[in-house]
Amino acid sequence: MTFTLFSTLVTLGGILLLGLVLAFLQRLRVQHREVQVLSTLFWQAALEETRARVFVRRFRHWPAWLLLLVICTLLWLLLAGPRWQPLDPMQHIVLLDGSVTDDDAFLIDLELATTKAAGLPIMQREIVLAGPTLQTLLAPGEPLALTQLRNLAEKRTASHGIDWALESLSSRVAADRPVTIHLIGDMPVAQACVNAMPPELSLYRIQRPPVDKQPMLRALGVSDARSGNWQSVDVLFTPRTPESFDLQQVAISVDGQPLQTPVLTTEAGDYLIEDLTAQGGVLKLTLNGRELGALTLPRREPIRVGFEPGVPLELRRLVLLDTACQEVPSDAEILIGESPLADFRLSSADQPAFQIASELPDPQEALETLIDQLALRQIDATALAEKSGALVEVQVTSGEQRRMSMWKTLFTPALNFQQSRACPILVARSIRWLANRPPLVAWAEQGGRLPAARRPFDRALSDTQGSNDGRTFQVTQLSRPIQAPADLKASPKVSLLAGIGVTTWLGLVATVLLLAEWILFQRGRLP
Amino acid sequence: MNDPFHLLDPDFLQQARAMRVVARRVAPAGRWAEHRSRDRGQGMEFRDYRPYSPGDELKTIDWNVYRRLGRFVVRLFEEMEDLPIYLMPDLSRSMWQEDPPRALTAMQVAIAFASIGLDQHDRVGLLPFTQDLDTTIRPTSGRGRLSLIAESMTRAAESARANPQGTDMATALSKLRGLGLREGLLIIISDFFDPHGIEVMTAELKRTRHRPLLVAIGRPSDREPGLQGDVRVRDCETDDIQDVSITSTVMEQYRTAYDSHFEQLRDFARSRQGSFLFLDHETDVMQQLAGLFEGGSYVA
Repeated sequence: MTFTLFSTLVTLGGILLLGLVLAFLQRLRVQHREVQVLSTLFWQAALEETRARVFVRRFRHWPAWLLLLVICTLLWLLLAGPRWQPLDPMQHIVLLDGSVTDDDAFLIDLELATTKAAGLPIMQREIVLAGPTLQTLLAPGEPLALTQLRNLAEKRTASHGIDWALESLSSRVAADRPVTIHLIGDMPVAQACVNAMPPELSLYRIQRPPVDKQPMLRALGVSDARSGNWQSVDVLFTPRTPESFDLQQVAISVDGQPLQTPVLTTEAGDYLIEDLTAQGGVLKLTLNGRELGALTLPRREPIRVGFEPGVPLELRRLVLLDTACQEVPSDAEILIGESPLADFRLSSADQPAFQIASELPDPQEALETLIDQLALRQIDATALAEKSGALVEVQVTSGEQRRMSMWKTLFTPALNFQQSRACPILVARSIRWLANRPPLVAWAEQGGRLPAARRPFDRALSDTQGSNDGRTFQVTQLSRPIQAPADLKASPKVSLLAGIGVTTWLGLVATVLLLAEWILFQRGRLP
Repeated sequence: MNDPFHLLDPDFLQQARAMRVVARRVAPAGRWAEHRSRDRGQGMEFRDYRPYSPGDELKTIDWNVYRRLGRFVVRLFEEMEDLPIYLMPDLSRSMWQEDPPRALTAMQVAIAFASIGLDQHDRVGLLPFTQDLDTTIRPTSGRGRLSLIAESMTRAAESARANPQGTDMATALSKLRGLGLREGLLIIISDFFDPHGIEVMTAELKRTRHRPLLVAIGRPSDREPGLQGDVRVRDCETDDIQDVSITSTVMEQYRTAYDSHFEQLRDFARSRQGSFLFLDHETDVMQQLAGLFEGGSYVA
């Protein structure tokens, strides 16, 4: 046995000290009250009879002292954190699938994991959650209650499959350190992954009882509106089994109001809803009262743009043609003009053609990012240089605030840049970048909890999906296509006693002895 | 007469007079009284014959036997003599510890037996004891001597209360033996809390020729003292101290020792054809004494 909190010397010294203190307290404890009696004859006889159990005449409470010493020693040992040295080196890892989004299913998984861990040796058991990374919910030697606490304290995360987690855990295996993994749930494991495992690693599955019916949707996602309207989005959903999916039976609503927009069918069997107002409403699909899926639509407010005097009319028209922009007389998010206060500044020809101040610390990195993000690459720099007679240069600096400047002459008939195909793209993207409006993303962030995921889905993964018209949708995979899984053996049953550590045993014995002492004291058997 | 202990309470004595002590057979050489004696003499009840010997009175010869058998035999008659009653009240320190003191109960018992004995012409000796036997009071008889005995007892009690001493019953009995008194009824009235132990007491009692009547005066709290925790008990007579941690086991042993103590006294009395009576100090004395006198008589 080892002590994790105290050294062996301190532990033994503590026991010795406890014994001395208790002996001293025992002596202090006996304070006799004097009573005059007619005769001490019978008291002498009574003590003669009971003296047979007394070890030493002067110290008359040895049994009581020993009992207290045993109790205190047990409590002291509990403080010392004793640990048995395991005879069997096998390490047990109970692996939870973090991609399960159904709260009920995950709670069942957690309960299964806890129950399993309870029957495993306390120093050789571990509960690991396979999220984006491997997260230990219960470390060896820790009480099971910590599993629940950690699960409540930590945000549960989604994951991409379980194979990578098994490969990662395989690295813990050594010749003298075999590992058994008990996989909770029904996440399929590729046979190739199982084949690649070292022989010292055993893999079992603890099957979760079915929670609910299979989900009817396989994917649900959102993208920019094909119409180009900034304040609208298109929604795509994919049935799990297109051949049995009857759209007429499905009720679609936004914030509880029936959807008026027609649902289009794609060649791939997906369904598309175009030009839904991007005001943060909840789109819900129900079939006979059963919710198939729901998502929260993006909320898109127009960008408030202000113009200083002197802004070229061509630029002004270009900006106001963008449905994302709205001109305001004051309190503009983006100010366009020639003054130093302007976010979108029109500079003179002696300045670099494009000057960008980015919050990124590395200008080179910022340049590489922005050159595509702002469509700078699409500018015909050679033509511009020829017309302007100056070098067309893009200069990126680091700053606390995003700013951008470009030649004012770009919007004059001399250079005629506003007639190029790249100009409206550059202006639109520049204003969006300056307004720091994030690009349209899936309503579920990668690795984060899916806010709109509901019970029918057993797991959800952020992904992209292309539609037949070439657009890319940010979608959420609501259920993974089942691949050919490996046939894993069921996890063997274990005795619950194996999971009780020495600390628990010591605590139990101490409790029993304390109870015994209390009963003895109540019955007058203890002084 | 000064009677601070109210020993001569008329009602109490009236109840005592209704009782009698009947001896199975008293020792010879006593005075004429009401008890059958082992003496053969001039009594009324024919007892036996014996061969005539010179010196026998001629009127005792049974002439009918002579006519039939031709031999001289004399008739023997049962002699009626007195029963000596020796009263030994314990007046040691332990008998004075409570209020009212146990010594008062002891004296009431003694005066009751004295009254009974004097009423039936028996000779009554009063021998109070503490560490020693008080032999200064001479045995007496006659109904009119009760007040004398009460007075002597009061005097002895006041002296014992003023100068309390411990108990040494063995020494007292040894001294009693040395007095060479005629065999009679020895009534010891005590709490029997002799620090020398029950064995010393009974060993000395065995040496006496008298028939014992042991009257133990106690109270229920003697057996159930109601003590708890760690107690230092101090003996009121010897000042011996004993540290006791009261537990149920210790109390059980205490009660066993207490019961055994009085059981030994009872067994001893029975073995000597005597009696043992436990008197509750807190209950009426005469009612408890009545239990000893079945049908109004106590057969000694």
